Amino acid sequence: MSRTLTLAIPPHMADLGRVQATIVAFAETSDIPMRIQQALDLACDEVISNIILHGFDDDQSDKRIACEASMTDEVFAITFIDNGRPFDPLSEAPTPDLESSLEDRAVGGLGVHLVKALVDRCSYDRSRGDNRLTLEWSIDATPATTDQKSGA
Amino acid sequence: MELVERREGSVVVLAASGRIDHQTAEAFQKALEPHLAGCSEGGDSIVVELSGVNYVSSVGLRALRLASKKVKAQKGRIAVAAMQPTVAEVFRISRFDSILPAFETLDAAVGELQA
Repeated sequence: MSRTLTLAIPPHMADLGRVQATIVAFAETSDIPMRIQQALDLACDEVISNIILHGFDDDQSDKRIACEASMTDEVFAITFIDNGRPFDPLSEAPTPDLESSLEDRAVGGLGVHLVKALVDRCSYDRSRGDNRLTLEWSIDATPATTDQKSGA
Repeated sequence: MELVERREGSVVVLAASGRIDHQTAEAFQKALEPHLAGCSEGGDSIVVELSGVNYVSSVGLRALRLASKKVKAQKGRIAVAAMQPTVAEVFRISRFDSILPAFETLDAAVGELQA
């Protein structure tokens, strides 16, 4: 079985909840495991809000965001595509300081940290003027754990 | 997102429900704000009960971080309790459980924070 979803995403925070619901509904009707649906929900929130809030120059008039989701029996994948400034969140997002005290913690990077911890694989590339961030989950894999991912 | 207040002795229990995401985090933060001033050394303590919260994203964590920072500056005590597994996972990944006390049950939190 293979299913796909292609969705144009309005570059406005007011639409984010509806977009999340649409993507998660696609996953739900594709009958993927709950742990992936929940991780997908959070990933959409973090990735799309980052693009909307930080991805574009203020004067960019042709803002474009989209996503392409697909599932097979083995893999659920979603690629977020935007024509904002070149930005690889996997390597360029600030590393959140998880060790220091509450008062000293720097703001930023936490959303990307969460996404990286909750996916099985992620990759980024810049092609034809677009940022493309792909997140993947193995459908029958043993649930990923933070300890495995962080090396902690 | 809703926040309902009740009191158990010197502990103010703030029971949150719904999603704490980019749409609701600001409202969550504003709802917490009025309760923070009285949470100081020798005053009330706060337990944010999260059993009704099924989703927290990074902005929700930031709202809790700001509340905790303010309370600690006042030498007060604040904790979270009764997180659903998915919310607890987000806390654990973010290592928030090491800086903002988290209790498995509301009773345990109230017992610990009761002066």
